[in-house]
Amino acid sequence: MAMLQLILGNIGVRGGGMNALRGHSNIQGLTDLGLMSNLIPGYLTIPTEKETTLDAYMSTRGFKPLRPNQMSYWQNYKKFMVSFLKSMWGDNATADNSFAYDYLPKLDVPGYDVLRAFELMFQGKMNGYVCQGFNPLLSFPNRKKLTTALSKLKFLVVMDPLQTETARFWQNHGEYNNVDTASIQTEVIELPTTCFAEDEGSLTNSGRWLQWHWAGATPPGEAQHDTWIMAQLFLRLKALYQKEGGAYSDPLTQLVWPYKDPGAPKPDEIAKEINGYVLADVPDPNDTTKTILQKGKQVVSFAALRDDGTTACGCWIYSGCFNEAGNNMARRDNKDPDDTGAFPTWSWSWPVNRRILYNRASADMTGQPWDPTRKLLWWDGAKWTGYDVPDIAPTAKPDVVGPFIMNPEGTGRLFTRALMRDGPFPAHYEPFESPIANPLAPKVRGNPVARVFKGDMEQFGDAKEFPYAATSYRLTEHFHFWTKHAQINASLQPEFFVEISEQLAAEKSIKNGGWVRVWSKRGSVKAKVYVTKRILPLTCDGKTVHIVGIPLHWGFMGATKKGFGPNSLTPYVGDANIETPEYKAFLVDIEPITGPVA
Amino acid sequence: MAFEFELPNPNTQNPKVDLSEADLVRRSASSVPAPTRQLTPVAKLIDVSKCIGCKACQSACLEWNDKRADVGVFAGSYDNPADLTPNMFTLMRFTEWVNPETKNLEWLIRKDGCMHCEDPGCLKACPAPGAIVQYSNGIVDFVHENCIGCGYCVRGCPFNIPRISQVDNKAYKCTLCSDRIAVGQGPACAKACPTHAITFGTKEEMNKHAAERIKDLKSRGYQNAGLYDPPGVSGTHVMYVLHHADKPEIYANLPNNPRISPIVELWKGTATKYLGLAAMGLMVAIGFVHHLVEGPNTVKREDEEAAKRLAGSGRP
Repeated sequence: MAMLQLILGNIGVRGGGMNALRGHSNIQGLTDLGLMSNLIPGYLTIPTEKETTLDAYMSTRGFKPLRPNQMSYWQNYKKFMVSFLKSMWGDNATADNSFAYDYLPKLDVPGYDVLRAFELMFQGKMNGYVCQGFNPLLSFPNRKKLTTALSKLKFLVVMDPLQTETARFWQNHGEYNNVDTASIQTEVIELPTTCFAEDEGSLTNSGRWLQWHWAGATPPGEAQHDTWIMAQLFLRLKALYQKEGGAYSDPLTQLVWPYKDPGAPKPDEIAKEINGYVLADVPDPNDTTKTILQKGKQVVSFAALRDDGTTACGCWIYSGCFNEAGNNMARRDNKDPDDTGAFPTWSWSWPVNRRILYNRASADMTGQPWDPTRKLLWWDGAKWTGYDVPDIAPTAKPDVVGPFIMNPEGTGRLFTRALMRDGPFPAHYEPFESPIANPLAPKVRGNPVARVFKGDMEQFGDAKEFPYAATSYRLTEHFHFWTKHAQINASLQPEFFVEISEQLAAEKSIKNGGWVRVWSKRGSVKAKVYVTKRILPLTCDGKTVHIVGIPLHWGFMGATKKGFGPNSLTPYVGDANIETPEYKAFLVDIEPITGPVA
Repeated sequence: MAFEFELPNPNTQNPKVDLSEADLVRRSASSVPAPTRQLTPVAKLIDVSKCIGCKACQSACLEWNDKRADVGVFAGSYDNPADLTPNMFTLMRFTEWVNPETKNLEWLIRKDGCMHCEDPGCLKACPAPGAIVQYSNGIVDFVHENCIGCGYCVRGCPFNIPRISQVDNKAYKCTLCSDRIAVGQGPACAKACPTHAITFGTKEEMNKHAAERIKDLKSRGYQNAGLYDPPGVSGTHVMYVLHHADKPEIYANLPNNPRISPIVELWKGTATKYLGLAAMGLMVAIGFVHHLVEGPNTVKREDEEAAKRLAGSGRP
C-alpha cells in the first residue's frame, strides 16, 4: 500500500498518505512509546547482545547522507539516545559510563513477540508473566497450547479492568474451558485497573495526534490506575533489592523517579518527562553571557536535545507535547485556516505538531505545489512556508535537499534493503493451511521465511483432512472481548455463531440457526450456524472452496452466553515480518450436530 | 469536488421545544381544547442506504430509556432481540435480498420502531382516556399512568409496533425521545448513529434532506429510490429513504400501503357513537327486566368470610 501511494504521488500531500485502521484507539501510542520488545521510545532500538558499547551501538546508526548536501535526520540519533538514557537514569548516567548504556537490556533474539513469549512458557523457560491490558487466552492462536503454557508458569499477574479469560484460565467452565484445576499450580494475581474513561492522559491516533483526555468517571471498587500499580511494584521491588541485595540491581534501583507522590505518578508529570527537560544551563556559543537552554525548563522540541548529557527526554518524537507553552495535547481550538484540513491548533501532532509527514513532497523540485488547489507548503525564495510545519529545514533549498529526510538518500523508497525478513518486494504465498497448493510455487508451503516453532508444523492440517477455509472477523455490535462484559452489547449479539454459504449448508445438510461442530487439527468448537447469502464459495485454482466465517467475540466470562473464539482452531504461526498470527486463513471441517438440551 | 453536487451533512442542531398539555392535538378516548399554538412538525429520517447495521441506535435507545433487553440466543439472523419488546423500542431488521435485475445481493437493514403517524391508529383504538396523546409537532406518546394494558393499540397500529409489558401490563413503544426533544436534544438513536443514517429535524428540513439523498441514490443507479411517508396514515413523523421505494415490503415487510384497520375506524367513527348509545340504552332495559325477574343480589355469609380472608391476610 505504501509503495502504491508513493508511486501515485500520494505521500506528503493533503488527503494522501496511509491511514492504518488500528484495532485499538492507542496502538499508535503503543509503538511510539516503544512497547514492542525490540524498541525503546521514539523508534530507537534495543541494543543486541553484540553491541556491548554505546560506540558499537551508534556505529550502525550514524546514517550519513548518501548524496551531497542531503539532510539525514537520523544523524541526530545520539542526541535522542543520550537524552533518553538521561531521562531514565539521570545523574547516574554520565559521559564516563556511556550514559548508563550498560543498564539497557540487550537482545539475544530479534524480538520477544507474544508468540515467542508463549512458546518459551510452553517450553517451561519463562516462569512469570505480567499481562497488562490484554487477553492472550482468546487473542493468540492455538488456545490448547496457550492453556498448557499458562499452566506451566509459576505466577501470572493480570492487570485489567475486566475479569478476563486469561485471568481465569485455571477455572473449569465445562466444555468452554475444560481444565483440570487441581493440576494447575500457577499462582494467579488479578489486579483490577481503571478503564480509559476513568483515566486522564493522552491517546495517539493513527494520524499521530496526541489528544489529551480527562477522567469521565470514578473507578469502581478497588480498581487502580496502571501507573499507580506500576509505581507500587517498582517501589516495593526497589525496597526489596535495597534490603536483600541481588544480582545487578542498578538498572532498577538507580532509576529516576521524580514524581511528587512516588507511589502515584500523575499523567501530566509523565507527559512532561516524555517531552524532555534541561538538566544544566547551556551557554550560547556566540555570546557567553547568554544561555540557550536554562536548567529546569521544559525543552521546546527535540531540536533542543543534546548528546552531552545536558538534556533529558523520554521519547524524542513526542518532544514538544508538553513544553513551556503548557500541555499542547489539551488544545481544543478547531480553527482550520483556508480549510486545508490541517487543524493545526487542535491537540498536538508528532513530530513538532507537523500534520502531514514528508510534506515537502507536496511541492515540485522548484518548490511550487504540485496541485495548486491543494497547496500545503511552498518555497518563497528564501524559506519554506505554508499551512503546515515544514518536514525539512526551513531554509533547505528545494533543488538541493530531497524531501525524505529520514532516509540518507533523501528520496522515498519503493523497497527496503535490510529492514524486513520478507522482502525486498512482497511475494504471494498461500497460508500455511491452504485449500490449494501455491499456484506460483507448488512445493512451497506457507511463507518460507516465516518462523515456525518446533512442534507447531506438525499441528498444521491439510486440505484432505480439513477441506474448508476458515476466517475470523469482528462484528459491529462488539469490541474485541471487552463489550461482552456489557449487558447492552451482550443483548445485541448474545451468542457465538459461525457463518456458512447456502451451498455448503445444502451439501452438509446444515440448517440455519441449528448447531454445528467446527474443528481443525488443533481444536474443536460447537456453535450455532448462520446460513447466509453473504458468503459464497470461492473458486481457487479451479477448485470450489467453501468458507466458514468465525466471529471472535465470545468466551467464558462476561454477560453473553458462553462460547468459543476462533483461536481454539487457529495455527501457531505469524507473518514473516512482524509475527501477526495467521487468523485470516486456516483449515477446518464442519458437521451438523444436535444442540445441547436447553 | 468529485461529486456532481454537494452532499451536505445533515443538521445536527435541534431547537428546544417545550412540550406541554396545551400542545396536545389528540388525546385517546377524550377530547382536548384546540391548542393555542402550532408547533413546527418534526420528523426523524432513516436513510436505509446509509445504515451499516451496527445497532448503535438500539444501544443508545436502551441507555437513554434506561431499559435492558434480555441476553437471548442466536436464532438464525442478526436480529437481536428477535423482535421488538416492551424494553426494546427499536430494532434493526436484516434482510438478504437478491436484486432480480442486477443479481446482486443487497443486505437491507431497516430500523423498525414507531412511525409516529399523523393519523395514529394506536391512539384511535385506545379506550383509556389520555393513555395515548399526540402533540401538534407530530409526536405520538404513551402516558403510562393512564394505560390499562388492553392491547387495543397493538391491534390499531398498522406497523405492529407497541408491546405490552408482562411486568406492569402497560403498552410501550418509541417516544421519539420526547423528553430529549423538550430540552433541545435530538433522539438518542440519531445522536448515536455513526453514519448519519438517522437524522432529526423539522419535517420540512427532513423532506429536503431526503430529496438530496434520493437524488444521490438515483445518480448511483437506484432509479426507484424514494421517500417512505405513507399517505394511508396521512404521513408519518418517522420517514425512510429507501433505495427501492417501489417495493417497501422487501425491507422486512414494511407495509406497502399502511392503513388503520377498518374495525378501528368503525369503533371510533361517528356512527359508533350513536350505535354505542343505543347499546347502552338496551343494556339498561335488559338490566331492569333482569331485576324484575331475579330480584336484587344478596350477600351470603360465605361471601363475607371470603372477602375478609382475602382483604385481611393476617394483617392488623
